Amino acid sequence: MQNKIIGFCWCYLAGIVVSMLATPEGALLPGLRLITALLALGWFVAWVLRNRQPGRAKQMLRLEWAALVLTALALGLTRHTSANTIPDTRIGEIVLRAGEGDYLESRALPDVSRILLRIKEPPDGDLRFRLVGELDARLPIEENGVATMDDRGRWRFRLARVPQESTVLHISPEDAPGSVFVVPQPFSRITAIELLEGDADARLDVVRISNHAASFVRASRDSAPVTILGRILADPMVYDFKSVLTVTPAYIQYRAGGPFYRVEGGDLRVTVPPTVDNYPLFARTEAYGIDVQIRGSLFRAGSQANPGGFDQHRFMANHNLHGQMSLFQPRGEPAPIHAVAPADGELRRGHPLVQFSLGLRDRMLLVFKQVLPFPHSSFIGAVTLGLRYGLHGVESPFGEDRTIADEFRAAGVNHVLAVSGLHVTILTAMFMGIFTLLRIPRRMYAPLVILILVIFAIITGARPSTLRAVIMNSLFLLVWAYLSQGLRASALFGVPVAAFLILLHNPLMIVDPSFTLSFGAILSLALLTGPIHEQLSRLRGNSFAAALVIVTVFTLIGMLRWPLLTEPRTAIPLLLFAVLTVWLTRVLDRKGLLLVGRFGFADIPGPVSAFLSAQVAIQLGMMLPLSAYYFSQWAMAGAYANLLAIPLIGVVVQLGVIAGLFGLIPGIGLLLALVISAANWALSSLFLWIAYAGTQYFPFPFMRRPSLIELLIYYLLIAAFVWHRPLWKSVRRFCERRAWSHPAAPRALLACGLVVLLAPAAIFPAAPRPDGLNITVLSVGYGRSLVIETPGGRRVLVDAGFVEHERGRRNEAQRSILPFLAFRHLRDFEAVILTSPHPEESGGLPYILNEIKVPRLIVPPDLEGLRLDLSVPAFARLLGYETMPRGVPRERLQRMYEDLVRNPEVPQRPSLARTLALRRDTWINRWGRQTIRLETAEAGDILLEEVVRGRPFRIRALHPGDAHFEEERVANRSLVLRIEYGDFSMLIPGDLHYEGQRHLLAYTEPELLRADIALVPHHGAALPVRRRGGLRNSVMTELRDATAPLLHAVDPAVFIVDFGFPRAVLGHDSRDAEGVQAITEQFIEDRFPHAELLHTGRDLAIFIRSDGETFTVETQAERLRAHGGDEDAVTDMEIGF
Amino acid sequence: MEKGAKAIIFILLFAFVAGALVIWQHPVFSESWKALREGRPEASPIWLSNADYYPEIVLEGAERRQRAE
Repeated sequence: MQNKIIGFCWCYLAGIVVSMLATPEGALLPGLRLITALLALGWFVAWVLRNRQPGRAKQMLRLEWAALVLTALALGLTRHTSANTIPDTRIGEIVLRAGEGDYLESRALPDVSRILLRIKEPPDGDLRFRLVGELDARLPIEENGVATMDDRGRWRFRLARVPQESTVLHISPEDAPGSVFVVPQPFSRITAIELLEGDADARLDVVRISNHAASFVRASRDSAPVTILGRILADPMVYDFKSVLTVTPAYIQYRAGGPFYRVEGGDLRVTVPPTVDNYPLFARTEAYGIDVQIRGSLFRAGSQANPGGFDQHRFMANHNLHGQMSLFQPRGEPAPIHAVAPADGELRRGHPLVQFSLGLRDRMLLVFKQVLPFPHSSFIGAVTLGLRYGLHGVESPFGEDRTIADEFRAAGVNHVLAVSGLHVTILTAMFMGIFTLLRIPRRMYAPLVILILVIFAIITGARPSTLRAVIMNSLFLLVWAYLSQGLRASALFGVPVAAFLILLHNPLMIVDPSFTLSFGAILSLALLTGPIHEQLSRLRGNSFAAALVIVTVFTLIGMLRWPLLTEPRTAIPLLLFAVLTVWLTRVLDRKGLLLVGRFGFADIPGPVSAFLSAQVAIQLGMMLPLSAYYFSQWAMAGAYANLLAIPLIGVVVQLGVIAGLFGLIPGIGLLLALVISAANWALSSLFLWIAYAGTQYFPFPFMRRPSLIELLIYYLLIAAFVWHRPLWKSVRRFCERRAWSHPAAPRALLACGLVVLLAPAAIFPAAPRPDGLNITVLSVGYGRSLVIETPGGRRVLVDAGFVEHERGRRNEAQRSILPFLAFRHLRDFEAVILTSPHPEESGGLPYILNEIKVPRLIVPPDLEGLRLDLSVPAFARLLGYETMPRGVPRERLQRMYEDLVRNPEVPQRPSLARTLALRRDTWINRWGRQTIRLETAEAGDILLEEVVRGRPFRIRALHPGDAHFEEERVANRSLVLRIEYGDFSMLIPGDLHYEGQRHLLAYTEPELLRADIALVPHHGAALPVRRRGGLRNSVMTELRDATAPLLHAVDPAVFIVDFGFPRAVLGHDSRDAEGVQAITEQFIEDRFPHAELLHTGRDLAIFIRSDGETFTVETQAERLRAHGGDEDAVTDMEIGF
Repeated sequence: MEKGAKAIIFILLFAFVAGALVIWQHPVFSESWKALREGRPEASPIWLSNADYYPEIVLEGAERRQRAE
């Protein structure tokens, strides 16, 4: 029976994987459900037959297994398809024939519904018609502008039945079968079709759009507000500057004055700022369970702006969150969120067990606030109560301009903050120990411990990792207490059952990192630890010493110069050193020279050696491959930091829980908690220091992101290692059966198998080199970054985006650019070009230069003398300021100084000058290809040139260059680049303001200005120096006088505006910049009606490809839409009434 | 499970000894000890250091006392 359960669970997972690969359409769901039900019935019949016919038990058992496997596969396929699609329902057909229209209803509309029409048979002439019917408009009964509920907690509505007519719909012979028309008006019943014009024949399917929350979400956060009636059905996530609610909507009013729709699934994320009147009510645990009326814009989360980047929309959808609202209360206006009580007057609350658990959490948190100083309280709150949000933005106590969360991530100990198997197992062991001390029999205390674990799961937010651990530990307790089975057996049973239960509830979690990492860790521990321990135990005497030497040398080199381990010129000699060391130990062994006697890994005390093996298993089985896959980063420190961190966290969590519970005892409880917490403070300090040291002394490099095929091959190799004995036996048996008697035959066969296994990685490279010229304009908010892949296979990076060090800590280099480079496996660059010293171009440069290999950094002439020892006035002179500027220019100068030279207040913060000093011309940098040469460029310079298939490729500087141009504004002396490949050309006019634009036009040969594609100068948001007659007039004057002549000279087919989120960069000027950008965009659209205008904020990353004759432009937004990642047209539909 | 029970006793003993040492030596902890013993947790430096950490979690008794004062 146990085997069948395990088999069923694994096959269910396989069914989900099949669904992910095949992506069946939602329309197939009824069929899939029917097949699943029939298979389940078949399984039941096979089970009955097996029991009824003992004579044919073996055959029936096979039949039962086959039915079980198919049922599980079909169930997985159906559940995943159902969770992944929101199917629309066909409710009837419109038949237009001989001047008359009929509506053939096949299913009644269940509620107020939105309709779309799909052409089945297109007409042979134009037809105009409209739908006629009724609408049962649902309008809430309000008191003081707030909807009300009855005494059973149901929203109260007034129903108004009104006749409804659609707008006139027009179809023509050009409309292909399958074309879709959205009816702008909602209906509750369709009674007739009124044909207004034409007598052609046509048939149309009438489809009801699902009222799922996702179908009401709009693309823009500036869209018209909607009203939601719903319930808060999760514990609020309370930050120090906002509270984030998970709201399950019951009804939604899509348009002011329109009807309320009943919502058919999907949750929303609602952000409440402290400026909202009744904020305190929604920033505490008591908010869980209450009913609310909310008014605000409902918009979709950001998609993956750049390939390889984080997809917030997908992440939220995996958690059943299909839209978000950021509430805002204008002065003098009513609050956008109201708690609504049923008619009996009491606000509704959530489930009593959940309510109890969250109340317990708050009381324990109150204890921590009294017995542990900040920030240790936030650390203990996170690891014992799952309050990770309390750690948001908390600075490390060892102060190095980093947050605790950053340090945990970089040191590879971040997993302790995600309440998972480690914490749950610690708690299980602790309570089992306590009950054993109290002499309670295991059969009695097992259910109690399970109840405690359930409460713990609720307290910590019931995340997948916690649920997995709680289910597994509960199964272990049951199996151990009532069936007396061991740990390994219960683990092998518990893993698939836990995965099945979690994925049955939400199949989309299968790709969520918290799910995958949690199961990866437990499977690594269960399967890999043993074989690794076995192999390590073979290290004895000289070989043990050699292993220690090799590990130490590689670790030290990694700590001091990580790139030396990844550069073939240095990595190959290091590997040779390792081989030589092993060879030397063999020689010494043969001569009988034992450097450390016979001591080996097996002589290390059992628990320690088992723990070391488990650490290696986790690194190989989970951390290394999955960190690279999900985050494109690997924390080298993790392998070492966890040796201390894991035992330490065991004690820290136990003391935290005990202190929290002791503190609840009236009287002496708090004093006892203080004593225990004082000890825990010391241990927590040690833990925080480990994270600090791990970050400070170990690298946290970006890695190439493996493809799914590479990951699969890696895990097949791991599986071969885990089951190497049975594998070897099978291979030998195979050779014996075929009478391959040569002793090398099994090894040769294995080698062949290895080649076959590795072949797909070579055939399907993870990031194949594209043909021709490829330019990617990355979406990095207000800033610029372009990756150029030349036709000859060389790479150039232009600009590096902005880094915000203060609140929010938005680092575009780490958030967008480096993940893109890791995703595309781009590490070796020919040059990096910085067009302007402005922070939105230069801020991310040191972070990127630390991760890539590049011999040349090309900068504008102003930065020729960039050195680490420059003072602020000297830096100002370098940039052409005769006297120190004041006001905003002074602030901008200071910011440039901090990014490019150093930050005197935070001296360890990366800066360009510091990076250049580290990468100066030394022998070790030369050996490891780490030297970066600073070059300047000016008008006329060719920065890169090659000839491919007879077509020249060049990157040419057009500006600055004229000696008489003494413009004080730094932006006006930024580099202007022209990329040329055969007949194709692209202009990057840098940060040029209006004066610089005039100068560029005046002093550049016209044929060099012409380009097929042009970026709009200064992100399309250059603020005029002098404002005459208001901002708009001044901008229009400058656009007419400076920008228009330049752009007419360029005359591109495509304009690109690299603009978005200017607030972080420009502060108070950001509103003006947004205004100027809108004016500029409109100006370009008016003046260049035939040109295409793309926007990195709206269209996301932009991909340009040219073969030297023609070019194509594609956007990330288009790619997402093509892969179903974006919502359909309904998103932006205005529903009339 | 006997091992687990022994480990808990050991951890608790360690915590009481180490905690007493910390309270004795560290001024923040010793002042907080005094404040808690005197029934004025709102005056303890530990509580004050946590003012911005989940500010909605408050000492109800202290609020009442402050209101009465």
